[in-house]
Amino acid sequence: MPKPSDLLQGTLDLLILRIIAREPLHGWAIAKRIEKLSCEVLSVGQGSLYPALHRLEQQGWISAEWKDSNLGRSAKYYSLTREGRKQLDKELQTWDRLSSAVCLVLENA
Amino acid sequence: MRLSRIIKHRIRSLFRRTKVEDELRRELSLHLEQLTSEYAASGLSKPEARMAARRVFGSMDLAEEQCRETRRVHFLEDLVKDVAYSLRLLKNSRGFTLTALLSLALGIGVNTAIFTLIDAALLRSLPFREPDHLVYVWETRPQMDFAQMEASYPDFEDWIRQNEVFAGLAGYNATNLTVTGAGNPLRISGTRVTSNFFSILGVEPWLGRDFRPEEEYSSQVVILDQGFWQTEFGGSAEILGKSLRLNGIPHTIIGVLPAGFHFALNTSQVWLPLDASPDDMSRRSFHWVKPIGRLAASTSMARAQAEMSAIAARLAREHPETNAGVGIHLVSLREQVVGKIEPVMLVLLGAVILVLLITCANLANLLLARASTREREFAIRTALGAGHGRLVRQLFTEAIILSVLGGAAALVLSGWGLDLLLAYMKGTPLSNIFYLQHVPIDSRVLGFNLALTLITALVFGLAPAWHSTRVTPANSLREGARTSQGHRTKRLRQCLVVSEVAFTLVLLIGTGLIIKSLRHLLDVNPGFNASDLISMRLSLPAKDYARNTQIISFYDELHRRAASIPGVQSAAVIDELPLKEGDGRTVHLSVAGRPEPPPGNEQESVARTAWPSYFETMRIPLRAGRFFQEQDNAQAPGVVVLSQTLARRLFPEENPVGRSIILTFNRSLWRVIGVAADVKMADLEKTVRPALYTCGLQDPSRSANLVLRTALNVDTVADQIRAQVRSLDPELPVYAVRSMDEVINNNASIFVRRLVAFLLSTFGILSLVLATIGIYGVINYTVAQRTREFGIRVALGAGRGEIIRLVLEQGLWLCVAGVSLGLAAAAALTRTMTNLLFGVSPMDPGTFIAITGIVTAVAALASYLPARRAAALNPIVALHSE
Repeated sequence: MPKPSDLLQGTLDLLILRIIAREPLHGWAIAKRIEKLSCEVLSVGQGSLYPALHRLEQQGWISAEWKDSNLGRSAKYYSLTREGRKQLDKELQTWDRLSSAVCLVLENA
Repeated sequence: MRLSRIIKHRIRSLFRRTKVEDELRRELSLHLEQLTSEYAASGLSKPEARMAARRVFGSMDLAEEQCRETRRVHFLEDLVKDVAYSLRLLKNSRGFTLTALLSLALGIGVNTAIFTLIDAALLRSLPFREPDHLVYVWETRPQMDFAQMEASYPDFEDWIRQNEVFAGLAGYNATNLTVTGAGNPLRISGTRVTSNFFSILGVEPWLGRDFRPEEEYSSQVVILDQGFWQTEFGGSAEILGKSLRLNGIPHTIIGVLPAGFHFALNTSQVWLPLDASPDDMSRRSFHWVKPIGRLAASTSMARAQAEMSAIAARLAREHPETNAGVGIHLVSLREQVVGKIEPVMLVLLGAVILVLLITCANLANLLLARASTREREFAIRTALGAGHGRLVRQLFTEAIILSVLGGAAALVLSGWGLDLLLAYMKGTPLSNIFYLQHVPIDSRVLGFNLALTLITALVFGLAPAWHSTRVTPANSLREGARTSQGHRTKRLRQCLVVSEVAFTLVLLIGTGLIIKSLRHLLDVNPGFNASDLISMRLSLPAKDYARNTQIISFYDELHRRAASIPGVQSAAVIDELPLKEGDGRTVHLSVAGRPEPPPGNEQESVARTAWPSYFETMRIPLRAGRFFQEQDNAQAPGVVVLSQTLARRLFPEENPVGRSIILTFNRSLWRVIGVAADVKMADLEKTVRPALYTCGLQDPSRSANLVLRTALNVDTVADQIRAQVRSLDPELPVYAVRSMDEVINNNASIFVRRLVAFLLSTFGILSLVLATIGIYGVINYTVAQRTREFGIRVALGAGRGEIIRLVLEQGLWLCVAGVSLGLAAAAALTRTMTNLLFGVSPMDPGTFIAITGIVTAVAALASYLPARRAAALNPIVALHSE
């Protein structure tokens, strides 16, 4: 399995942070939410989702908690920490700058 | 906040492993289940749905592993495994482990021990307040034989009045005292000091008080050294105000010094006020005050030197008769204390660093030899997926564990070594220099030891690690495989052996040079016959022996009784023995009947007071005239014996016997009755100084040495003399009982070289053994590798001699390479020990050739043993060996 490129990896982190900013979710729900919100364009396999979640947890941006879920058994729910929220703001700004820059290049090239 | 969360998370990953793993599995399987139920909902049957989900999900193990990797605690987990594995390996190969630990303990141990000495002697600042501001002040007379001297009291007073560069100047002078009152009379050393002495050093009494200015003269007070207080008074706090009888006079104890106080220039048990006699204080020609000063704030040494030189010049103008040509030389107190020992310590440091390098090379060699036997293990681990990085880490872990164990052993070893060394130095001139009353294995020494341990591990761990990265499993796993691997390792091991030989050669050449210097020094004729001579010292208290007649009759009687002891050939009395440290008393003199020399240009000479029979007892040859006799007593005119050098200086063309000299300080007239051969007064190294002897019956001294020529044992003689002395004066201690050989051996010029020679030869032999093992190992290894080749050669008709020659050649090549490098290095390095050499050039060809011969012979022997084995091979066996 090819490793996700840096851009993709960074982007996935951003998507995860943004999605759980609204409410704590478990891994499966996060994957589903990304699929749904992107109108089935983006599909996140477990091979990149869970390492990303664990890395974010390791870095202290998100924290995890086992809770009863709507799936009939307890699941690991991820939520943003205070520092994670700041990190999300920072990454959103970076993303804005980056994407508008890319757009500029594409339009004017 | 975030940090604490991260740390908590990592700790959890590390120590709650099973729980974390369990959670991971649950999380992932939940995902898989959802995927399955999604496929089931889309209309697939249950098994089909499960299959599809699995396909999309991929490998569960891989997913788990990827999540695990994010935890970043592999390093620690692996470390624990590596350590456990290494310990098991070391335990299983006991021979290897013991050899490695022993050489590490020795290599690191000698370094730690020498570092402790260097730290104590050179690195640590003196135990005084702002020690960098303390200076020692010498008066100098550059154009004379005696370049440096103590200050005269009037000069010292003028300096204090005139200088503006010192915050204060203090003076001291060493003395010896007899303690009486409790038990046997005890002889102790003391220092007489000006009242500001301790405040200049920045030391306050730990108990009681300091001297007061008004106590400087004619007051009987004493401050005790902490150690003396502990041993003599059991550390009793009620000591203040009590009385201590010194030289028969009661002194009031006013203070006790702190435990850490140590004045290296003059270690003393008691400290007394200066209490100089009016005569001592008024004579500008009598140099006896040892001055130390504290530089005023923001005054540089150079500025102080300039001002003091100006003062010296002014004093020379004002008092030309005593001070003409007298200068002042400032030396930092530190330089004065450790200046002489510094080059010695640096040579020792160089030597122990070489020992450590040899140890490292040897260990690298050992580990490489082991690595080639472990090649298959590494190949299997590589084949099973271990990365090179992982193998290298494993090897370094082994090296570090070995080093740490070795370093710990080294610490114990260096402690023992230091104790031995200190015991060896006890009572010698060196023991004062080191601030080593107790060996301070402190945090600095521990830090040094640890740093050395890790560096060592890095150095010798590098070789096998490099080796392991070249392992190719396919080749190494093949049965009986012979790869280029072996060849490369061999090259590396050869380089290591070459460097071992080179380092060893440098060490041994240094040792050779020192031993040769020592031999030359001991061959120097001291001017008297030192064998079968025993000396001991007595000191008559001024209180009981006020008049000269009392002193004369005491020593006359004592020497008569001593001479009549059976087994004693002759006995004599002299105020100062030759080869004690320093020149001792000196005087200025001129020849009667000649125009007086301009002030400051009188001849200076060592002065001694000898009783009749001194020259005969010491076997100092007579050159002209006669020696002292019984009739040269107080009633007869004053007579003097000159040394040959002094006689030649004063009377280059004439016969000195019958002429007269005048001692400048009291204008007294003395007739020359004889000329004695020169005697080395201060040490064997320096050129002979001019000397004159007055007769003890005319010019007696209260402190004197009794010298006996006898083949009897020192203790037997001492007991008999003590009994005699007790019957003459029960309050008088007999001390410093020594054979003259011992006096010579304890002379700093001899002792320092003996110490260095002893240490260097120990290190040299140690490294020769290590290098020999190294050569033997490498040659043995090559022989094993070439077994089949030798078999073929023998089968084709090669003789035993030819095989031996082939192997020997290899060993000798290593040796030649090592020796050439070593000779070049030695030529560059031995210059650093010029200070320690005597009568030998740092490039002494004899030493270089002899040591090269020894090393080559040993190398030849080390390669001959494997060579003989190779030659004895049965070709059939050899050809089947692989």
